[in-house]
Amino acid sequence: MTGAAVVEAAGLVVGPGVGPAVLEGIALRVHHGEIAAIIGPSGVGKTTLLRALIGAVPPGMSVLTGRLRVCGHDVLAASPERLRALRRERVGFVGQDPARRLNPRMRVRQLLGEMAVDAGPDGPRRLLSELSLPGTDELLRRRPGQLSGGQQRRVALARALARRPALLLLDEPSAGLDTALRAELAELLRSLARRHGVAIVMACHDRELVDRIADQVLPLGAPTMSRPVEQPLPERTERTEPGPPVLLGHGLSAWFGRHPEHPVLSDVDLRLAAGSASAVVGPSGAGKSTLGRVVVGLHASASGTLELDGVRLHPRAERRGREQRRRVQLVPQDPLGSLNPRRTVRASLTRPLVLHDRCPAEQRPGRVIELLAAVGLAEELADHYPDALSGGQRQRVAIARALGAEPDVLVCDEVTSALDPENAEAIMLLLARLRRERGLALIVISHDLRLVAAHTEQVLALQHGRALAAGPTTEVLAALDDAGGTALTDSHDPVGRAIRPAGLPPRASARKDG
Amino acid sequence: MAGGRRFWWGLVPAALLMVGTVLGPLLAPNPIDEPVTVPYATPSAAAPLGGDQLGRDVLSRLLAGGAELLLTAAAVALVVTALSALLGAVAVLRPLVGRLIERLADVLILLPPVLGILLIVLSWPDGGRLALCCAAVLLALPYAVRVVAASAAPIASAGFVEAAVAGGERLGRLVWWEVLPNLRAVLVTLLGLRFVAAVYIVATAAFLQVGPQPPAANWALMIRENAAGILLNPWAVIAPSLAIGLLAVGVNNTVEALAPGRGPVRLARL
Amino acid sequence: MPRIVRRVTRLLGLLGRRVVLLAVLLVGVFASVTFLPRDAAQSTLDRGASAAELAARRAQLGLDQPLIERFARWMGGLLTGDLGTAARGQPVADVVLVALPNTVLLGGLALGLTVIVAVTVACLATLRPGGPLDRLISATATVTLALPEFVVASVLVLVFALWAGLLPAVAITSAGGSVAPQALILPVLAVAIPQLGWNVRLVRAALADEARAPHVDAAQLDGLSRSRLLVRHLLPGVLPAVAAAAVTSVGLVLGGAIVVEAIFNYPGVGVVLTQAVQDRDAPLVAGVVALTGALILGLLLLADAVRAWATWGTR
Repeated sequence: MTGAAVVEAAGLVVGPGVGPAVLEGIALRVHHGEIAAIIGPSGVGKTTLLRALIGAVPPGMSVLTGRLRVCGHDVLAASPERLRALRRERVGFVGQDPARRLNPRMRVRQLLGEMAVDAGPDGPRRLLSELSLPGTDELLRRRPGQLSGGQQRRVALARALARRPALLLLDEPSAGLDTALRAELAELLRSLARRHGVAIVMACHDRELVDRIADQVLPLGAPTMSRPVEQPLPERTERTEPGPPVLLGHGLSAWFGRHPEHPVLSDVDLRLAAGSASAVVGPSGAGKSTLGRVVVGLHASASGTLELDGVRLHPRAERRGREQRRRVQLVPQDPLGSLNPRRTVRASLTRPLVLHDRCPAEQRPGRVIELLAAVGLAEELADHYPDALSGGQRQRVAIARALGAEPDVLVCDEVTSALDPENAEAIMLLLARLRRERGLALIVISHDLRLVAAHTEQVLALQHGRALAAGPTTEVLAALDDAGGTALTDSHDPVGRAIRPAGLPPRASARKDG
Repeated sequence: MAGGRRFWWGLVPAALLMVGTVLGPLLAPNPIDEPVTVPYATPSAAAPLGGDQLGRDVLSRLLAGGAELLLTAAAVALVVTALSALLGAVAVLRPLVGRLIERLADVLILLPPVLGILLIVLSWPDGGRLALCCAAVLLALPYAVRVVAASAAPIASAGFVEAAVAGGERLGRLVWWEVLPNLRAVLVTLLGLRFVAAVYIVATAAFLQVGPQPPAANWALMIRENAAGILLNPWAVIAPSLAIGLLAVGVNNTVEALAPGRGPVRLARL
Repeated sequence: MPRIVRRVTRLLGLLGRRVVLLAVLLVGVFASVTFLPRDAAQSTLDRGASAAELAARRAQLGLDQPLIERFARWMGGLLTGDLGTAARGQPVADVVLVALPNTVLLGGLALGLTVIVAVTVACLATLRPGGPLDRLISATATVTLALPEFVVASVLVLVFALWAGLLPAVAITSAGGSVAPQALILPVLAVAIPQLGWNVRLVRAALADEARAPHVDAAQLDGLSRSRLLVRHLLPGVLPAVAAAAVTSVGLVLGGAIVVEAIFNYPGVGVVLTQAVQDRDAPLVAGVVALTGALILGLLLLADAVRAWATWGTR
């Protein structure tokens, strides 16, 4: 391609100013009619670079050095009015998530007309037809909330094209489009470039699209976040013989408020033997915490039966007997949660002793020291406030508090998710020891599959509130691993692998077809 | 301290004023009930701020006229804060109570506070200061409870509270030992705001001659009584106006500076 | 279309709930009026009136009927416009309905002024975030909230009426009971100023929130001018918040109007209420409360309608 470059970037360094830069040494030349693709893993700065091209780096960042000329203007030195004119007339930007980037109160006609170069009633219609949308009055009258996902995407693109730009900046243009639409998009972009001479710069995950239409590719490096190092698997805790079931749950369902038709938990069964450890796993929103709260009696809108040693438990903790409440205890997750910041450790530990009348008053201080020792903490910590303790220590105190009531069932809700791997491991070993020594039955709610694999015997996998699989840990995890598919675990789980058993129905889509 | 200068600008005049009003009656140079000069006399040696409608010394009445206002407002603010703290904590732990309070607050939107005060005080047999206090407390409670409940909600759903509930703690202990201690900062701010609102409502009620009656020395009453002679001796109206204004603004600035950066708190001005 | 039916049903439900709240208020009002040992009959007759005179007065005021009947009559009367009898014998409705429109005028003007000034100032501050106007707002906004209206009114009278002689200090009524326009200026200002600071802060915060919305960022990247951004992309989003702020202010504005009327001798409900205070005439106050409650209810519904219209088709 000959002619002046539409985008000329050299030696661009973009960063927050303190700490490592996000983008370093970026050089880019895009001529009229060229399509450039920026590729790289997520988080690497593709959107930041796109925004930098129109002088709109995210807040907190700035262009530290470099040269940048867009459509002949020096973007880095341009006045606000000049930048506005540039964006208004020469450059079109289509960001990710176009649904939220369209003014929800404006109609399609106004959205397109606001930016149109050719005024007149036919302008919006022509734009729509360029993007294979029907140019009907009905569509023009709609607001973005009344369009499907694909339609919203195309209206956003039409809005960018309305000004007949010289440069088009696209952030993930093909996300969420099916194969047919993707092909159409590729054709449209190619024709814009070849026939109308529009320069296109797009940040794209989609290698197929990139291969199909890009003339040049700018790869951005991997982020400096280190890959999580694969820790060697810890020793497995010894198997204990499963005793008689101490907790039985059948058909447990839960919902929020007065909407039983949208259950958070549906028909889940639970079986817990004395001295055993069962894990509950699943992605966020699967209902793990809700199950834990139903067991402990904190979730009133629940149905199904729950039995402790054969005696029915009321769904609400307030209605349960004192003894029943004593025997089922909860250890919550740490941040801000597990301990009352206004009470000393001693006060927090003494409370269950008083409440459940575990020992006469003179013996209480001694018991507190015993509890601290049981969780491996020094006596001196008793008179500290929680903010003087580390996260690991706070979790130990929370466990000690639960132990103070001498329970038979302990529900541990994400007790290790706020801890570093070492502390998490230590807590799990502590729990295993307590299981052995006191015959505690544990319910471990966690999204960390590694820990679960190492320290629990049974596992219950939840998805969308339903039991996906239940049984011995090794078998269930292996079975889930064998089947491929979309993620069962959270994407930030360092060891999370995409696992999805075959045969499950596809995720229900809330979007209308576009 | 956040807000630095603004805090002192607010606190010092307000504190001086508050001390002055409480000690005022002792400092008054002239008797407050008897005329010492001509009605609406201009300032002179005998009466530094002139005379009011009956010739009484404006300065003495000014010094004496704030104590009742201040103490009533303080009492109302304390009671409202204490009650709303308890009710708010209960409301987050017992959703039914919370919903009831919400409905009450919704009903109160339909009632202008001034009218509410009038209605209650007039319906109260021989309603005076006590009726006024009760009315002010009653009308302020639902909104204040809402504010406390909003701040207490994250605490009520914190792990340690849930652990306590699951473990079998009673409501009273939950409120007193688990929730309330963590609301200290919110309650202090609430007290300050309630005090400002109480000064407003008590002064306004006094102006409408609900509660204190003439010939009591009261800043709001002074403004009302001396309005007719405003041209002759403006000080009889200006001095009490400034006093109320400075008190209200001073306390407000102090409170504001103690809690900077918060968006407009959803408190009705009562 | 089922969508419209759903929306209408939802609005009707909201209306129903609000009306129920008004009914609850009215029950409370009636209760407070009824349960007093020293009733209106006693307070309006001279002390030492004979028992026969008291009984006759009671019968005249209808105070000797059983409670439920009185309540039913009162509620029924409300719907037909009969608000009971004042202590001095006139029908409450007559007394109040003459005075209320003036108060509503005063309050309405003050509310309108507050809203317009608040929105304008907040918009100007948004155009220069962190600039001098913004700083002034955060420093002083809530100051005005603390000032009672009668203090503001006195200062205004002193400055504008007495020293500068620009505006009348007292509202002069014409024969028909209406008020000259210049006489409205000071009272409206006295009621509006204390509400201003609060509402400016509120609208400014709403604008700041809206400015963080993705579609505003997109509009900025589209190079739209600042005024267009403000008017077409920011303001529509804060309309519900503005309506809510206006509605919360209504009660305070009405209260303020009532207080201010005493200073300016403005022929509104405030004057009527002053008399009621002296007579300890609770039924009169109850009638005023019922009317203002209905009025505020109407405004609330209007605000709901504004919010519904503003969010129509956006979800």
